[in-house]
Amino acid sequence: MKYVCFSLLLVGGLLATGTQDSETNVNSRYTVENVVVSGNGWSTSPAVDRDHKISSGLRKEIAALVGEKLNPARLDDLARRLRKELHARTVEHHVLRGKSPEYVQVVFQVEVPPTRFDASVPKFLYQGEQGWSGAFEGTATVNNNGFTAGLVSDGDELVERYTGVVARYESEPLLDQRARLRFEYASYHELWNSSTVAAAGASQLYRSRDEFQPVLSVQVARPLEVSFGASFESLGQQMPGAQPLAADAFVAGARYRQEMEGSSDQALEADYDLRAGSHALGSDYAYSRHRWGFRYRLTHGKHELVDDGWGGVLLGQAPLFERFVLGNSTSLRGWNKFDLDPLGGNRVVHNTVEYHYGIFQIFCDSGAIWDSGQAAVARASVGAGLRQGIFSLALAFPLRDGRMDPVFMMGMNY
Amino acid sequence: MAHLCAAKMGRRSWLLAGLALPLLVARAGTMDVAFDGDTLRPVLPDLHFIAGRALERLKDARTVVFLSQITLLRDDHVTPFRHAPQRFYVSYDIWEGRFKVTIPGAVPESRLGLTAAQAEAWCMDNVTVSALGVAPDRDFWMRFDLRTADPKDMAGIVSESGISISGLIEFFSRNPDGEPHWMMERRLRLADLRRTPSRRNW
Repeated sequence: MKYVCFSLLLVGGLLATGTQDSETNVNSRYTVENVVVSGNGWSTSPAVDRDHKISSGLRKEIAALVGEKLNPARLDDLARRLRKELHARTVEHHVLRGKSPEYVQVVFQVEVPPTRFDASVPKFLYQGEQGWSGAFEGTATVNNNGFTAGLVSDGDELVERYTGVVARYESEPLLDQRARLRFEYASYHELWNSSTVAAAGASQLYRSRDEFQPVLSVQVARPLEVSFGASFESLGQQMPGAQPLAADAFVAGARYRQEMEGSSDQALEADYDLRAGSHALGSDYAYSRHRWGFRYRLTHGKHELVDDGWGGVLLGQAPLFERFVLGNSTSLRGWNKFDLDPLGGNRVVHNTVEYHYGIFQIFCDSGAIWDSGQAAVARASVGAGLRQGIFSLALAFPLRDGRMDPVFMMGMNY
Repeated sequence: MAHLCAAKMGRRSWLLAGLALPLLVARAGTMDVAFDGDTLRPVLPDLHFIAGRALERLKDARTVVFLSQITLLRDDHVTPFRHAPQRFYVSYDIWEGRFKVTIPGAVPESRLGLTAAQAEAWCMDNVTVSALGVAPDRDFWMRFDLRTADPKDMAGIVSESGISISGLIEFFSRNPDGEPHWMMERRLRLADLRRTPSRRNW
């Protein structure tokens, strides 16, 4: 009871002071002309830009200041939320004269500590068919340069379960904030499912996989980003004493993202990725892997509709980690990837439609995975569950004749 | 004679106070007391509280709240017998370069277009305590406190019913946390003061 009383007093006090601030501040008669959020080497105008450093909700609230009368108490609240969201040391707001009389500009000045450490869980998942998968990373940021080290064990994404360590360096923004350089190293130990072992030739399976991948990403125009680099993979063979095989490839990608805000928010994303293994890089494999995707999201209040389609083609002779997979926690949920194709496929097409209402979600997955020269078999699954932020829990049912074997999934960031 | 004084404080507070003392002395000067009508009013022409961090905040279009308190204490210098709290909401017009001051209960409640000196003067003119019931020939102490407050402080001090005296006492006894805090006191006897007609609401 005392906490209720205390809360009432506090809220009452804040209301009293809040009202007073708008009444007592002489600048509350001026109209906000523009709002800028600026930090160490970057700045954004949330009313115009869709900078993804700031979440959509907060960005919209900041943008909504434009055209309204200045409310200094509101600025304090937004500065506090920016500080929390950007993990900033301080966020100060300054109010300057606008370009026209009776108008003012608001500048949120973000000061990020030069060195900070963050721990994160990029993936944590239990899937009824594949068991546990997870990744844990620690990132030290020093003067906008990110140094990451982590552990991963993933039996969900590929036909193999890969377990090992990752290390990554991500440079500070380059070329007038438009580019970033990334170096990633990973060393994995591989585990294979018995059905994959039975289907594969002995030379296809590898005991370990070491990866080094330098990539440069460049923002060509605000919604379009391209990346290119190389991927050097060394595949340790099962046979003791055998020389590791190299799977070195050129990598390139393009990402487009457009958000449209109104009474309903819409977001459109499209991406294309190419990995081309070439003898020119010293690779033992020569192949090209093309993957393209399209994602559309419509949000209206608590309602959210998502359509996510993607497809891929793999040409030439490629190692198993490059082959496409359906029947995991993100595609044809409810199906077992080893029942669909224990080696993965070199052709794939998939589409997901999801509807969310608050924390509730239902989804329908459909797709096909096959090898060139084979007939594609279309399959589908439906499911329902709960999703709150990064946490999700779902039960998925494969749609097939005669049987219904639901698969349970739960986790975060998958 | 007016002088600076520290209330009951811990060792750390003494140390901080010691470090801050030269600043306070530099800011405050001496305190005279005016006896207008039935009220006592500190007269501090050298006190400039619209300065430093408070002025920086004002120029960022924030409202800065100043809390003041006059306490009358018996001659033992310990027992308070009257409190008079006041609060001033000051803002700075970034287009006109002038100040606005709002003082709840004052007439008028707000004044616009003031210079810093005029704003300070109007605030100080509203820092008063009633002298009714105080024996003219009896010695007592008058203590004046002034500090800035941020909204989270205000939540504990100001409510619908006005200023909470206990909240204010707690506030003034707290470590100023880098904020300037002016505190002055003086021993008085009403019979020694020259009484003038009331000059409120100029």
